[in-house]
Amino acid sequence: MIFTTRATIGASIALLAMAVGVALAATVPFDDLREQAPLHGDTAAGATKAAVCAACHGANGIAVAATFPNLAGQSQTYLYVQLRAFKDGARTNAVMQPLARTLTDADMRNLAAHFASLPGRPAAHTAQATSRGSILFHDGDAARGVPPCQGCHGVDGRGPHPDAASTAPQPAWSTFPVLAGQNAPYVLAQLQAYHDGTRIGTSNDKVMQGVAHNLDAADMQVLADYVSTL
Amino acid sequence: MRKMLAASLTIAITASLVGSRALADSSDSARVGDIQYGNALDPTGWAPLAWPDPRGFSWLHAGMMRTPSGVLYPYPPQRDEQSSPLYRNSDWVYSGFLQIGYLHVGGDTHAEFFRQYTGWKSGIALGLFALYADNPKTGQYVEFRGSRLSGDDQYYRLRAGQYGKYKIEGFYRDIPHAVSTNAYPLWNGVGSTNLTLPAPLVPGGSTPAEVAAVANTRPRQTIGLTRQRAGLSFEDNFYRDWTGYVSIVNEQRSGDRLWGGPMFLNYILRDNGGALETVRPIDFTTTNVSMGLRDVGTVWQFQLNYTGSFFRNHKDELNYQSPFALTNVVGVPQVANIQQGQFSLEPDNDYHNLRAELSRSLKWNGQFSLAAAWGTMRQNDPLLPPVTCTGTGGIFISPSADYTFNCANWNTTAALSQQTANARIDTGLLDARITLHPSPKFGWHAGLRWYREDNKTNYLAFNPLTGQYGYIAENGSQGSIIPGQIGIFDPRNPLYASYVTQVRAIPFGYTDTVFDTGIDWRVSENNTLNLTYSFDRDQPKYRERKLVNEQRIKLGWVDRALGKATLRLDYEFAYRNGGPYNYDPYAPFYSTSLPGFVTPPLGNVAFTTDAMRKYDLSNRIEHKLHATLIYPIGDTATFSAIAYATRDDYGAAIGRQATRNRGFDVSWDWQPSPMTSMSANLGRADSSLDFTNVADNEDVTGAPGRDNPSLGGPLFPLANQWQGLDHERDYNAGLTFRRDFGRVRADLGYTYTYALGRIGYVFASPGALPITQQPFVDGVGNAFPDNHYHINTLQLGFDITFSRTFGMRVFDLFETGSFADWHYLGLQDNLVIDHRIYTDLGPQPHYSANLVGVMLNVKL
Amino acid sequence: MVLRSAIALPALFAIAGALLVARHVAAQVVHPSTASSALTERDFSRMLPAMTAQAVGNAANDGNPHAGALPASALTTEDFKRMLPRTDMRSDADANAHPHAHAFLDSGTATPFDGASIARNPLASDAIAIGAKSCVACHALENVQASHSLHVQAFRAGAAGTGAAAACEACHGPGSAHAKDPTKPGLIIAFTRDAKTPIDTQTGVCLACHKGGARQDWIGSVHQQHQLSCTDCHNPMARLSAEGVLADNSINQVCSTCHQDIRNKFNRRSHMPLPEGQMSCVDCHNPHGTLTAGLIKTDTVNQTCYACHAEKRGPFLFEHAPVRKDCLTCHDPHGSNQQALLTLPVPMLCQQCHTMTGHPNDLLTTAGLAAGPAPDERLIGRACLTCHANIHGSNNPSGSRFHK
Repeated sequence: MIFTTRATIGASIALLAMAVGVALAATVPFDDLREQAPLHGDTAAGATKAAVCAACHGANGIAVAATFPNLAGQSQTYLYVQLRAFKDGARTNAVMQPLARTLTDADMRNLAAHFASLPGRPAAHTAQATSRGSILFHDGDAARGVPPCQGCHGVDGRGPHPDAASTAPQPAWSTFPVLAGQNAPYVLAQLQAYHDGTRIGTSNDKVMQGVAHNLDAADMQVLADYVSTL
Repeated sequence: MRKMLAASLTIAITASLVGSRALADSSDSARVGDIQYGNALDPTGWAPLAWPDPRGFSWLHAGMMRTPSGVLYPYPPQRDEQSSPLYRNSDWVYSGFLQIGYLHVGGDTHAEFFRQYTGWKSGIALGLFALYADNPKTGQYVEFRGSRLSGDDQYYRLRAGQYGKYKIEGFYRDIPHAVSTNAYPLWNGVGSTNLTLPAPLVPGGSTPAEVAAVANTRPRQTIGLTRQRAGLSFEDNFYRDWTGYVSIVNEQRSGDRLWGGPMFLNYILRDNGGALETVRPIDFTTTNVSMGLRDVGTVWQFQLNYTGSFFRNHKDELNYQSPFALTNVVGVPQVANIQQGQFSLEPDNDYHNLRAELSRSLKWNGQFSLAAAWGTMRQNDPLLPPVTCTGTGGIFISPSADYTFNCANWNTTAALSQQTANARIDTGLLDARITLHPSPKFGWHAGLRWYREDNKTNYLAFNPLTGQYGYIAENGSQGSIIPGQIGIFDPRNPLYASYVTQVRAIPFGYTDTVFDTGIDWRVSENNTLNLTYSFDRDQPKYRERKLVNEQRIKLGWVDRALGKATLRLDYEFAYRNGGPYNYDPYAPFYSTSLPGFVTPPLGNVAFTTDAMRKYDLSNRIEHKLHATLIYPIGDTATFSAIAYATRDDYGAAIGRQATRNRGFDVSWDWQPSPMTSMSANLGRADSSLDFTNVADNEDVTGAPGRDNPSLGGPLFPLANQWQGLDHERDYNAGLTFRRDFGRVRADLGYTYTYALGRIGYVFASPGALPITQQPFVDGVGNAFPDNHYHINTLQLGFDITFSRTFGMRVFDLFETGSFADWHYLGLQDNLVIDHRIYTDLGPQPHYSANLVGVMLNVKL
Repeated sequence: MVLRSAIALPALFAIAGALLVARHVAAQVVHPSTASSALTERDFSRMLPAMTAQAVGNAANDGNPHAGALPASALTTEDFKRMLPRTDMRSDADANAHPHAHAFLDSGTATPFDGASIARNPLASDAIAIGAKSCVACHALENVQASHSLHVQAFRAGAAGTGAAAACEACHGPGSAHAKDPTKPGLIIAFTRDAKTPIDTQTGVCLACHKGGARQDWIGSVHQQHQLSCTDCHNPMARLSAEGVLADNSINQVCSTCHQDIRNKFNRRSHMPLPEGQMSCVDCHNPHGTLTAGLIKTDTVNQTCYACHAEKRGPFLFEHAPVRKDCLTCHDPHGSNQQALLTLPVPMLCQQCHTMTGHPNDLLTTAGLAAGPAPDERLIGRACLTCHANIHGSNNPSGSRFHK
């Protein structure tokens, strides 16, 4: 009896060991930002590394061309997680990926801190509150299934305004980008990428994918235009 | 596979009725039984499908939400990519899972506690077969689950319907129950209605040594039973707000159980009498039917329900042979050989219950409800004759002291005053309650409930053949050992004219009226107080008290924001008293109440002491305290604890004195991510119960004072008082761990149970002990050896994924236990002790068993 | 009216078409090897069918507002009017004015959930319904997980019938205020720990549909008084259990969240087969409230016991008083350290009441054990029950002491 017990235990241990030995599968790059804490890099150190960036994003963080994003005044944590996403492949871009791969984690933090500390671009002009873009941004379009952008990006597009009173599980607010002062062509391209499912490498992208899925080309255009006026 | 699905769908669709708007939903939680389908391999019936989705619940935030009380919801299981269209262009999609493999049990696989309710068996086992199909367009669905460990441990469950419209459920299941795996029945015919002695034993003619010699050669057997249940139910929202439902469940219960067999006491008379542990058959069929209607309107809600239960026992009696000779203590040697015993087993019975409930919503978020129910329990089985003996029983001392009886006058149903039991109890229930919430902060409720059990059974033990009352005690054995103690009363015969015996059935019944009222008061956003008062007026019939009142006050405090915690604290106080206590309320049912009864010169021996208070009726003061705390730790863990104490003090000089219960349980649950979860729990419970009793002074039963029921009187002297003290302590601990490594998932579970029980005793003098034990008074100590029950169970499993479709599960379950119970102490050496025969050696003192399983997982 | 029909008709038919398309596409999708990667096509097809359908429908509308000229249907204009979901933006004012008015459907294939109304949120009285499609735009993963829950599947079936039905907002209340300011507590009816929604409002939402039946006696029940919400035990947002939309994998696990002491009692030597998965707490108790104390489902405790132990029902010719009155006099149904769920070992159990003259009232000691110097059948094995075996009642004419 005892022998049988021991024998079966032995057999099972062997089987279990085999089980453990099975190799783990490789994973597709995916950045889960849901537990991302706000980051603080060294602004000064970041400035010393920013020269390469300036080629496209401008020395003051205002992009040289509207197809590139303005980095000035952007959320520090957002900038960092985007650099990291480029580095690990969760976000694809032929230019940014090779550049990001050369950066250390500290570099990315510092660069993020540097650009975040720069003053954002002031609004180019004022949009009408009754414009389609403004309505979409502030009210969404329920018939189409478009939630208001302001919910996460702030009523002024300057990032979310979390309610301190809430004790519910919170999104990683710091990873949500500031939209105010962004370049319309860049915003349009990103909305299109979300819509098409080509920018889905982070957990935040999954949210935007759902939102952009319900936007049509005209919606995206008016939204991009509206955001640039904030 | 497709065919099977198509068949299931056909069932669903055929049953589909063109529905109306509906609010129909299931009322399972209102019906008794068959709610849970699982087995020891997977108690949830769901485990293989419960592995969390690594993505979690929301892209917006990490972790899981907590319940309003603060417990983390488990991460949702991964089932996303399984549904496939049933066939081309079908609206139906399906998903499924099959786990099948091989189980090997090793070690002491027959240990009682290892297989108490589990049919573990080496061989092919179906872990789980689950199939889900639904039509998102029409809301129709079909679900099937099944599992099979062995032929007597399996379940299959089908649910189909259309959301909110109709539902069909069906099941088949076998549930095993091992009563003893360590039994050595002496008799042949175990499981039948006739237990016969194996050769060379002779009924009424074998010595204990001869019986013991045969007992030692008997094979080990398992005593137990299997419940085979099948059921079908249908619920349909057939018109507007109206829903109807009907269900039928049939159970066949087969097997055997340990039983008894009296041939009069053996302890006072060595080499005499007989106490036999026999085995009785279990062969029951029970059919339960439930049907009803309900109307759920916005203002009125109504339901009408009928429940019927029909029990049939296919083995109405148990006959057994006793190998021992009986010896009369005086007189010439007995002339009848009393060696055959008989039991009536449970009669067939029918039960009907009709219940109507009507509720009306009131303003102030209130509700008024009225309920009424009527029920009846009936049985009318043919009665067996009072004895099965032949010849002459009893004792002949002299012609004027002829205590014999002719078996022929008693071994026939002609000896009965009625041929069938004609037993019936009707029940009635009326309940009215009202609840009002004039403001969100304040609620008030009150209820009045009346319930009655009216027992209409009327049986007179009168033998028309002899004109005598009463019955033949213990198969005739008692009267064949002690002269006159046959069990009969005969006013015409001075030998029996003073004999106290029960001559009527006692139709116990009661009327219980409960009034309760209470308030809920939300003191602040997260603080609620509630106070309830209830008055329970119980009026038992033919019991020691005609009136028992219990008043109860409950005070509850719920704080949902004590720091981060939720605290629920309850205190309850109850006070029970009642009318006068009559220590012998049964006189009307005894021969003493019959005309012609002659009270002997010394009076009747007191029935019991008048100081006795039965604990279901005695005065009582009760305090209960209960606290539940749920404390969230960070975003990923929860600590919860409960603590409780109960204290009952009974107003009794003799009888139950007091009970105490207290304990705590703490647990910690942690789920840092969908990939990992862990929990630990620890608990301890202590209880004590003490009671007193008083041994009667046997010397007085034939002397003056024998009719004195007083504690401290000659029959119940203070010196014969004794006290029993029960202490029990339970420790419980558990640990679970689950980790998803991607292709491999591991799960670990450990359970620890340790229970200790000790019965202690103190006594005023050796007079409290049986005469036979008084010589050993110095050695009796003050307690029985400790009982214990100690189980460790460890389970370790790995799930390995090979492809989207295939995977395997390898697991090991190791269980070890130890057990001690003084009831069985010493039986290992001898199952036959003088005129006592035992069958069950009791659960194994030590065991260890191991289960290994290798299962193939297939996602369908 | 005409306008509504014009919208509803194309939407309906678009749904049907889109479902077919979605299924077809889904069938061809090659599933990625790991689940942690992208939101798959299937996830999208899993999201409200209406989501895809509505987009198609809207596109059709954009191109031709009169695309409602569709093949003949068995449904009348009145039917479509009734089927219009409450979440339709244009009917929101009406929905808020009559939150518990249900759309009646006397025939047709639509499910009862089609007409689900929007729950009223006292903390966001100005909010208006925005429809499930807007909700799941952000709550994409929640939508995937919830779609496996029977509860949400039911609403989904409703959505399939009539378009963007109430679904989310039927329980969570109108979502516009929340969508604009998702961080502010209370703007949505929440059912979780951090909810600002009072418990009564939470349970009121559930009971608006799940009234009556097994829950007819919820108000005033012990769980209601203890401020439990439906979602303390149920999680309709994920399928965690085989049946019952529970907040854990099984009923027994849910109950033992608070009743840990009871769960542990089931680990004792004698117990009913709960740990073995053959039974659940809800076999005997209805946690939603009953008319009988202890949340017992039947008129008395005994009637619940008889449902499985029908042989004990009798009535017998000779009854044992406490047996007839209350099984709990001698048994603890949650588990015991003695055989057969007894509250005390025999013979002590019996000796609490039986002081009768004769053999019942002796103090039995270790001397009477099988191995003792004076073995005593009143103590060994089944003790009293060795002779009084029919202790639950005897139907034998000689059975008044349960010997027969």
